[in-house]
Amino acid sequence: MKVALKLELRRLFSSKELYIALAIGLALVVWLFVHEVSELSRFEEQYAIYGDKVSGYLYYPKTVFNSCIELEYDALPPILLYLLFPIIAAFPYASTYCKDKKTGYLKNLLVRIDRRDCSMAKYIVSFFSGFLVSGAILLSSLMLTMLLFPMLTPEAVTQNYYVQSGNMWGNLFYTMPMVYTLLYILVDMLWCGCMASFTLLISMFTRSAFLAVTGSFIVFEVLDYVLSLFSLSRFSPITFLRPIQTTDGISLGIILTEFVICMAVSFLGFYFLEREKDVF
Amino acid sequence: MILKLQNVSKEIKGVTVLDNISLTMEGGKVYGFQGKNGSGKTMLMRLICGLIKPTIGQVVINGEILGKDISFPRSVGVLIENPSFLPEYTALKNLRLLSDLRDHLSDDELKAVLSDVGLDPEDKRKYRSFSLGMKQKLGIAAAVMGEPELVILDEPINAVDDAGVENIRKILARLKEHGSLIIVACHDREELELISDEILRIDAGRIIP
Repeated sequence: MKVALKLELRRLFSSKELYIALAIGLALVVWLFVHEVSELSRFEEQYAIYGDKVSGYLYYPKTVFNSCIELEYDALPPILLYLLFPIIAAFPYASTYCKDKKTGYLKNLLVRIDRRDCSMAKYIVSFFSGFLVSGAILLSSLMLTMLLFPMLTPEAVTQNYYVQSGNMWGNLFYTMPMVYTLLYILVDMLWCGCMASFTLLISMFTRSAFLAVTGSFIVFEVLDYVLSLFSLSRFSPITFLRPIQTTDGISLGIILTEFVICMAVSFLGFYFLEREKDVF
Repeated sequence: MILKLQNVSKEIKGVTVLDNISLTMEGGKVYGFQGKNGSGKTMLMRLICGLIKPTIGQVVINGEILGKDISFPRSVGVLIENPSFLPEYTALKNLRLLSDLRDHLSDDELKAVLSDVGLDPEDKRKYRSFSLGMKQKLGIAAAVMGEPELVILDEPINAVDDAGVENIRKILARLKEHGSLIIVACHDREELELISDEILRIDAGRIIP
């Protein structure tokens, strides 16, 4: 297992797909950062002219906790990032199984290592690739924002923050916002790993890497749409992955239960069923 | 090595691609599979190396049943259809990665295998820029490295130049001397007769006596 894992990790870090996924994510991070800096600059101009009050409203500065990609609400980059997370998570590595089947490289592997080790290594590295790429993007946004924006403890009364006190960990956000943000990033990283692993399940039915990667995206987007029709968006990973929690009723129980179910389904399918199949 | 196929049949989507094949092959010999396109040569090779499972019958290698006692032959080198390697690595690096999985050969041994098939071990070009012939040679190098007990080569001389074909003959002769069981499928009848100790004709999934 160790040698298979080593080979697959080496493939992950030498694949251009990993760096393309990171580049897409970081481009969104930089785009948002530029957008937030221009807003901050506008705020400072207004503040210089009007002081801290205008038209009865209190001016309140942009902070890390409403400017990083996790916690910004209405700008385009975070919307795109969370929409595309299933693709960004799966793109770096999870489609390699399809490619290996299609090109015949899988034969090279299977005659040399136990098929269980091969499947397990693919599953672990797929999860790790999604976990890694999402973590790198989210943490880089947080750190980049921290370079310029103040880390003021959020004040609900200013109505400048999108997390409601009734949301999951809402009180934590208004008392220890950095802990909230880091915890939510961890949730996102775990789920992106899960989405990448889910791609392997789709790989069982296709030899096309494109279909495998977009298939995972389509499954999660369709699920999001269907659940929203029945006002059950709190159960949709696409919805509950956003730390600003755009819907009520999200709970750690839902997030973890669905995580376990999704991991179990993809693992059982890929590890047990796929290895019984013929390899052509 | 003794390899036995016992009443092996394979059906795919209701079509019988291998039909009640029984044969015994032993180490130190080269077996040539001859047959027209779609006769079942490649399918039989896949079955022997454990990539597909028989619908009926069994493959027994040195007393162990394939798919039951072992998933794949314990020592096998395979080149079936097109060679496939990681495009972002050189020939040597690709062999190194595969060798680390099982054979654990030294750099010198890997370089020797590359030289044997007619590739430059110091070539820094990546696999993606290889010509068809070079890819085929690397496929053969991967199949024969570590001198496996069972070597399965499907159309090994495809796209290979005359010097390359001569190298392949030498490699097969050496493996045969070493005691490996070698199975080769080839459309070039003359070449197959030249390198094989025994020729098995396959038609419509059956061995023709």
